[in-house]
Amino acid sequence: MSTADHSGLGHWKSQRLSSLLLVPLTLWLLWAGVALTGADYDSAVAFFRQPFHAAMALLTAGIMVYHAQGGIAVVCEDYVAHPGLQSALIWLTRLGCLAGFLATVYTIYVVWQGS
Amino acid sequence: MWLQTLMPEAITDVSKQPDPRPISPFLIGPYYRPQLTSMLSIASRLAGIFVTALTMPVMFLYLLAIAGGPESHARFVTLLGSLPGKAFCLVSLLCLCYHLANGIRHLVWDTGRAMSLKAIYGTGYLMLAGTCVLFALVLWRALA
Repeated sequence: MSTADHSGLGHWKSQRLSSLLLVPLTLWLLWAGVALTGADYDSAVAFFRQPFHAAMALLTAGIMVYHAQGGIAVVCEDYVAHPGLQSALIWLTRLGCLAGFLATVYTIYVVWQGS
Repeated sequence: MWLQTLMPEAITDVSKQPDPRPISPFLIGPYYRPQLTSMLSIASRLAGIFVTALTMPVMFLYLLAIAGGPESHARFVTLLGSLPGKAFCLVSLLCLCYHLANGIRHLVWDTGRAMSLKAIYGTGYLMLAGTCVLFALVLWRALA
C-alpha cells in the first residue's frame, strides 16, 4: 500500500527538489494572481501570450501538481489506514493533478494559437 | 466505520484494525497537548490540502474559462467576484503564503540548521510574520 517503506529517500528528495523550485514559482503565481485580479478577457489572454508568463504557467503547473500529489500521498498514508480508501484517494489526486496540468497546456495552446 | 477508517486507534482490538502497522496519531485530541510546534506543522498540511483540493482546481478551471472564450471568462470572473468567491480567494492566498513560508522553514531544516528547540520556536514566529507580510503585500498590490 504505502511506498514510503520502499522508497522513502527518493520521495524525500523529490519533495525537497520540487519545494525548492516552488519557492520562486509560487512567488510568480502570486504575481500572476495580482496581475490577473480584475483583468478582463483581453488582458488575461495578453498576459498568457507573453512567452515568459506562458512558460512560467506551464512550469508552475507541472511542478506544483507533482509536489501536490506527493504531499497528498503522504497525508493519506499517515491518516487513512484503510488500504483501499488510501490508494483510491492517492490515485484520485494523481488523476486530478494530471487533468489540471493538461488543462494548463490546453489553455496555453489555445491562447497562443490565435497569435 | 467511518471513524474506524480514519482513526484505527479508536478500535481497542488491534487484530480488527484494517492494517496492523502503526499509523501517525492525530495531533489534535487526547494524544498530544497542543503546542506551537505541532499546530504550525498540522496547519501546514491543512494549507497544502486546501490548495490541492480547492485552490488548484479553481485555478485550472479559471484557465479553462480563458480557453473557452470571453463569455466563459466573464462568467467565471463574476463567480470569483461574488462574496463567497472573494472569501475563497483570501483563504487560498493565506494557505499559499503559509505553506510557502513554512516550506522555506523546512528547507532550512533540511540543511541541518535551526534545529534547537529555541530556534524552532524562533523560526516559527518568523514564519508567521513572513506569512502576514506576504499576504498583506499581495492583497495590497491586487487591490491597488
